[in-house]
Amino acid sequence: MFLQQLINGIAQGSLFALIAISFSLVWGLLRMVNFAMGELYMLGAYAGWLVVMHVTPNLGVALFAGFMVGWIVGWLIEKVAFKAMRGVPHIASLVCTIGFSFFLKETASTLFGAETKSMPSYYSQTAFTIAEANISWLQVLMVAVAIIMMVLLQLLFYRTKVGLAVRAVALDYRTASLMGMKVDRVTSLAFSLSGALVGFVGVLAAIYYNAVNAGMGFVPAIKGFTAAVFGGITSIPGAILGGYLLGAIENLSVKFMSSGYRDFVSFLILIIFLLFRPNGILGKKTKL
Amino acid sequence: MALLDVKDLVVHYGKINALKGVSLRLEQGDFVALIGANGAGKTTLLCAISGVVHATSGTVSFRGKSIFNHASEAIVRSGISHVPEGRKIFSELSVEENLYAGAYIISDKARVKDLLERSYQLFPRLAERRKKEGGTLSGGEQQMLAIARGLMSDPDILFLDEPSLGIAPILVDKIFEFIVQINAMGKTILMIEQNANLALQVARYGYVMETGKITHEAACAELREDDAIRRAYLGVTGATT
Amino acid sequence: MKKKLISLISTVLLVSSGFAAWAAGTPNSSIIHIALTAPITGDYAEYGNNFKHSVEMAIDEINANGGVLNKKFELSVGDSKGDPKESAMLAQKWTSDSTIVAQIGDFTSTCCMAAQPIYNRAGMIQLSPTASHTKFASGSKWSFSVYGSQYWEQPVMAALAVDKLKFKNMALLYINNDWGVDTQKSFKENFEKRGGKIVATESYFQGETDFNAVLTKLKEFKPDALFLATMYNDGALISKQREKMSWNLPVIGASALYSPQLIQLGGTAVNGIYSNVSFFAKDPDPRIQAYVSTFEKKFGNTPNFAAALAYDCVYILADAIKRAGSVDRNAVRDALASSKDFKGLAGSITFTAERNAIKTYKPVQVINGEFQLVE
Repeated sequence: MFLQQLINGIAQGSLFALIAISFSLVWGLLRMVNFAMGELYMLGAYAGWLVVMHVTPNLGVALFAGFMVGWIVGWLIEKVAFKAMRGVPHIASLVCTIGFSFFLKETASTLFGAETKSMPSYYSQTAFTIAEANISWLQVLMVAVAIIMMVLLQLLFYRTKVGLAVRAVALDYRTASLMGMKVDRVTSLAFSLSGALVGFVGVLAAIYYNAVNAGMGFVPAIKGFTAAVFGGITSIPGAILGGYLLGAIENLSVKFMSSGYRDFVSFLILIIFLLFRPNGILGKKTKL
Repeated sequence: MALLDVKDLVVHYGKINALKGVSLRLEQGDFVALIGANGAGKTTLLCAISGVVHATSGTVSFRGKSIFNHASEAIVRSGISHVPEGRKIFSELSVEENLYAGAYIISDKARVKDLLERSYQLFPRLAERRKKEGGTLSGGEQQMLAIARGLMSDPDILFLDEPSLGIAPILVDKIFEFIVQINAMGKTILMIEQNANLALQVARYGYVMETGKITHEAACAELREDDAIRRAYLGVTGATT
Repeated sequence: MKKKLISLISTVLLVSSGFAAWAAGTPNSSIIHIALTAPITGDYAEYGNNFKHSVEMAIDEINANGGVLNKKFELSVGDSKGDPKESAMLAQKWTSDSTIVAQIGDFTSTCCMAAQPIYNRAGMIQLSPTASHTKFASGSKWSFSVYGSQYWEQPVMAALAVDKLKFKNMALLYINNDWGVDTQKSFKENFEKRGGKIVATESYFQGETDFNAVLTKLKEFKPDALFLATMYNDGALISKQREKMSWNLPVIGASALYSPQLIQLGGTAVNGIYSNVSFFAKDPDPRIQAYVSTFEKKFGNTPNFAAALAYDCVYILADAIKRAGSVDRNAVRDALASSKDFKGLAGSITFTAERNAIKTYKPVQVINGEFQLVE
């Protein structure tokens, strides 16, 4: 069953990796953590759920809806919590994103009701069986979609002008503006993109776990953040590596220990890395 | 009409008055050096023109149009490229990516390709290192890259802030050769240089700044002969060397 | 800044305590003021709203029939969000208001036990419709559980598992909180007493959504059946993920699984699950049918067991006040403790010396998307 836990870990790791990328994007550009990430994930999940229940059962449309909602709300958070607070001490922005986190959660709970909503299953049939380990089509799809997303991001960052601008602004926004890059616009774009990404992940998670509720984002956001720190928050490949490693470690830890220790393992990793290797596995040294 | 016309530019950093009314003119094709002690306000002057620093009052016009306090990303679009002090290479971008970043404002891909080719012709060293991360280059190479990147927006005016700073002495002459060459290509240059000797040899016109004001301005040949300037900036007490 | 904050807080505290004193100074003799603590928002909001609706309904009925001792009930509602800290804060609030006769709530055992010392100190009835931790009601002479405790519930489930379903080796999965720990322990004891064997036990924390790892591990032990000490929402998630793993085995669980939401959320994955009830909405008893249809008409959903228990709480409290002949907190407490064979919707209520209601539980099973009594 080692293999089965590894497979579960990789599937879950795909979700963590995408969330971790979002944290890395925001960190890279603003040296800031967006504490409302979990709620963007939750809103994405609701958007996907609404589409599936009321518009069309097409999964692609649901994922797109999650992406768009994440984009829009992410954009809004950037405008309020970061742009409007430029020049104010960083802590104000952080507190503001925490405020957003509560606000969005309570809004969703009021709007959709506090009870858990059921999301229909997709592709839940077994795709392969390897040594008693079952891999469902959904798990295959999740990993595939996550990888496609990462490849697209990689292409965006390394093959387009906008991506170049995002990287340049993240490295040195003053010099980037001397090159004619519109720092505000690039930052806002990357922030929206990070929101869109977690919104998208929210839909994937809703399908994987068949459930949507207002509090669903809290744990994955912390896990995603842990994955980002683990892999190196300044580096997107690091975030991806951190996501998959965390997924695998968590699931395998269940095999060897009581499952009650699962979160304990994740947070132990977070604390150890923050203490001894704050730059993570692949991260570069940064001045904070 | 001057290409760039700066009049009575005043800048405050909080309560500190960093520029106290500076005027300066650049004509098409000029090569102007700006010398002065540390803290005289040279960098502030470049930054105030290129939009990095917010000016309190004064006028700045480029080709007769005001660019006073425009955003820096707008000023580079109008044709002034500022190569900042300390080179400010994007350390984790490759040499080529740094150059592409410099051409950010140009949307015509063919033209960007041409400009890239021109950079590599001008600085063959950079062509050799095109895939290397900017941060791994030597100081001299980084300075070449910074200048080449500044040229990638195909500006009318190039601001150079301390191009010789922190560079091995043997490379300094080389860098200045490049700068002269760039000027010969028709680019107008405004350069800050701590090495006043060198600056006044390569440039044609010079301004001397002291505590936020221009104290002297003249053709470089004339400044080189000025006793006060020789004593203060050229480190010469007796006869010319 | 800090100084300002401190002075602001102390001002607020002063003013609010002034209000409390003012409110306490003017008891209104024509009303019986009671408080309800419930998770109106948060993960347990469905239960909290069932509480609130049912309590309001019961109070309206009693008031419409002339009230008790010629006084009308008046209700204050506090939202604990399912958070023990909030529940304890509300306990502070209620106990500092001398007009309040008794408190009904909270929903989870954890919340109730967090607030318990405060009610105990102040001497206020803490009447919980649902807290079933074996150590809850026995913890203070002011605490009562109408639900009874796992002590009564799990023998029924263990008997079902061993005698009727013939399970020998079972796996346990529980939510890691006071209630979950107690429930699985109680089931384990009873199951083992009857000769069953627990081959694996796993737990998770509130808020977990990924049960793949835990289920994969439990599957390795090849149990005959799985026991769930979880709420309905987690129960549905677990079932769906179990179905996806194509791990098919019988599942039984605590009464907390009994909710229409289990079926709504779980779909076909929850078919066949066994649970148990003290209140069953399809019970042909005319009193229950009248209650269910009024509730459905008013609030648009079928009341769950929590609703029925909360409803019983109001009536048994009213009964105690009537028998006490006053709204004195001590007199009402003693009258409540001596309640005997009170006919509630969710079975009759007699309190043990430890103030747990002795209840009878009926096993139910999900068959074709509906709960049905197991004969």
